[in-house]
Amino acid sequence: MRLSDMSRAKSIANELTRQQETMDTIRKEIVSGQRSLSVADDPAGYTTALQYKEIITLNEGYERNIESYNNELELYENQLDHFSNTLLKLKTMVTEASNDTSYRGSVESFRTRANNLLESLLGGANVIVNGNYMFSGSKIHDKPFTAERLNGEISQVTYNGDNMPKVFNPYTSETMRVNLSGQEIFCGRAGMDENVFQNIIDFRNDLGDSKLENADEHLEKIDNSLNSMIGKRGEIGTHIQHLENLKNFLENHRLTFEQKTSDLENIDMAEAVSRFLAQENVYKASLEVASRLYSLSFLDYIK
Amino acid sequence: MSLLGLNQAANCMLNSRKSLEITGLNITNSQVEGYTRQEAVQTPVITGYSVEAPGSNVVSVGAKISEITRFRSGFIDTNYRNESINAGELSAESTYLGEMSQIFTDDSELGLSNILNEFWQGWNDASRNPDDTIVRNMVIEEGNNLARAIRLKSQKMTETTARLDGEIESVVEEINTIAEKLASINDRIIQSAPTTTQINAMMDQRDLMLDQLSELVGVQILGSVKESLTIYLDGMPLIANKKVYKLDVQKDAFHNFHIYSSSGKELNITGGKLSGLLDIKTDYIPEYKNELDEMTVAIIEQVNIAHKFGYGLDGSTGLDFFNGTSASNIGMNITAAEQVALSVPKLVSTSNINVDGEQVMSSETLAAASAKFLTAPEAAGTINVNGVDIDWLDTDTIQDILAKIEEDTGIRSTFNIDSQEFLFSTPPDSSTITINDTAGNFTVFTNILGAVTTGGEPGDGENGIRIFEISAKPIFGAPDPNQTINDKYRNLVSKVGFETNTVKSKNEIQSDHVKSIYEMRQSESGVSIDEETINLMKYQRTFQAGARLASVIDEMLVSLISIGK
Repeated sequence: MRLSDMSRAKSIANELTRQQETMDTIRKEIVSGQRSLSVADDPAGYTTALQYKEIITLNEGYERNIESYNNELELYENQLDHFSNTLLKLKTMVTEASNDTSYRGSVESFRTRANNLLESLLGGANVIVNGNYMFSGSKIHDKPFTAERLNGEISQVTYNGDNMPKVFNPYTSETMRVNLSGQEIFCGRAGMDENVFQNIIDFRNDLGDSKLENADEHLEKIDNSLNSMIGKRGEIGTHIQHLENLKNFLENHRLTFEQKTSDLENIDMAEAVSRFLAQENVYKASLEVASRLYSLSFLDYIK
Repeated sequence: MSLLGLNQAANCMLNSRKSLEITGLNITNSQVEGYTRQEAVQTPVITGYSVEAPGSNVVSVGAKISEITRFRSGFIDTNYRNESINAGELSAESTYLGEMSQIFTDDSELGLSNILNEFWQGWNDASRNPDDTIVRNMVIEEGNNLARAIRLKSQKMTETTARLDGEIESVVEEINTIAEKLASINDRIIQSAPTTTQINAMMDQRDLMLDQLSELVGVQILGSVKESLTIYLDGMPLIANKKVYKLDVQKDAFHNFHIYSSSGKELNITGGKLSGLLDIKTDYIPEYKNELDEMTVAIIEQVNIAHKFGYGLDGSTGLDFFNGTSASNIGMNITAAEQVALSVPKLVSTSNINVDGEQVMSSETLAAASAKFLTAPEAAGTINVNGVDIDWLDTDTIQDILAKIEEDTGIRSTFNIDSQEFLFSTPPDSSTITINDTAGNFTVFTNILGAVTTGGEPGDGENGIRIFEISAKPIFGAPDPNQTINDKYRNLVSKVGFETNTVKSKNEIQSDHVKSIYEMRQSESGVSIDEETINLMKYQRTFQAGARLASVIDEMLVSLISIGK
């Protein structure tokens, strides 16, 4: 085959350009640290990476939910502990009030203690966290309990919130409730005499000159409320544990997909540098060959 | 001995000089694109009677230049141009699809895919703190980012289309210009003497223009290399000898281009750059735009339906979140944080379903809890929720039945064990729920209908969850059923990537193929300096030999003439 000078020149130029392009591609990979530079370079890898990133973002969202709701649940747990302790103190007081010896002559002291417990519970029920009332359902800007007072003592407590559950989807499983309304904790079941505030008020009002005769009745009501609270606390504890497990799972899941995304997108620097050096050698050799070819001409040998 | 020898020597020198001229021409043009190497073809000159050979009546008096030939293969030319037609088309497609893939390559966190993910997560985050103005503002900002990112993609495609329009018009103009030049040179070739170097140069120019024309549009060239040519486009003449039939390009009301022959017939353009550009303009970009529009419309519709149903902190309801109708004009309707509708109205049962004090658990079967109900359920029955029949058995739990209702009607509900109340979130497409105990044998659900609470409670973020859940909702049907909005976008990116990749690969293969044919042609028509240097020496030596011959004959004649002195 004849080789024309133009054809040879073009062929060499094309080959050198192609090698420069290869080197430039590797250079861009090294500079950016990314394997796929455009969706056209590796469409399958690129779109798979998009899908992985979507999963990662979704997981991060679920993790944020869990983190946030776990904190809220822990606050409920703490508050329920506080309420349970208050009710335990109340139980002790009822027992003491039923004992003639300890009760005699200290009615006012008992009334004061009962009122203190009442105020303490009311304060806890109206607690504000991050600017919102914890126990008013979805009406987080409304004070959940308001008290009517007679001679400075609480005579009636009214619930102003609602009973709307706050639910969220922890992670493609059934939804989980993450709030407790004041109604559930303090008002109890209808017709069951489980209204904690009313029970304390009744107890205080029953305190008279002689020992408390209906202590058993009061103790039973307090026990009902206490059991209900302990039940809810256990439920919350289970939720917290479940969310902790889920959080660990989601973290591992996310890390797996982050690794997969990295495998798809990021380059192995050592391998890329080796490729660049190999390509550099090929390019240098091509330049050498081209320069020798051009220096060979029959014109140099004639006089 | 005669003067014939001197004539031979003179012819030899003249021929050598001419051949040297042609060699010089080859060397001078060795790097000129389109130049075809030439050679002066020498043929023997035969004359009549010879004194030295009385028996013969034929004698050669040397050689003459009979033709300046071009080394050109019609077969290779035809092959080269046919392949150039394909290469031109693929090259144009590859260039513009490369731009498309750049538009859909989402760099870093500014990419649409990431912005879309953040948008959905924004609603999720807002649902946790529905009264927080900062997270509400973030929802608006993320909505803005999304709308901006979509508009940017649409705008980039529109800009590419505008550039494409300009290029299509300029390619048609270029075709017409080349056609005019070709016709003119065609005419001059017909008028010229057949064996001059000038006609060779004109044929080189014509061949070069035919190469350029083939890259631009799929033409059919009739006529041999040395004759006048006729060129057809979709069966209609573009050039016939010296006559040019110019193309006309027109845009219709839908901004599509139509190419007409001079006789007014619409041409079907196949092959060449023009065909590639038209393909991008009429097939690829509209399809990508359409898919982006479909995704955008789905986002606008789905988010707006849910948002209109919800309530803002200020009690506003029925408001669209986005405005606009396509990727080019999607924008924000909501601009105030308190108008972001994060809460939904709910239906709460007004009376208990149980005997006072007897708690029905959501996880126990109806049969097991039968005694606790005000009205004991039958063994099986059907309730109708918003027109959808839902069958139940008394082996189902309340939780099972609520799950069936959600699955079949989309109405989400919860059962509060403490208050023994049902709480239904009304579905986005309806503000009421109708529940009928059609068989009349299951009154458990008949007393759940109650007052609809007004949304807008600061602690309710359920609508945020609903909007977040749109991200996982299968929305699109055929050809890829069960696609979510994110899937739709990912598939669009994938489609652009694969199509670009395919065309790019085809273009590289075709380009290599054209290069190999070009090398074959260069092998035939290209100039080799080494070869021409040898020719240079060859003709120089021939010239020197001719001169020597003349000198020897001259000396001999001098000797002969001096005999008589």
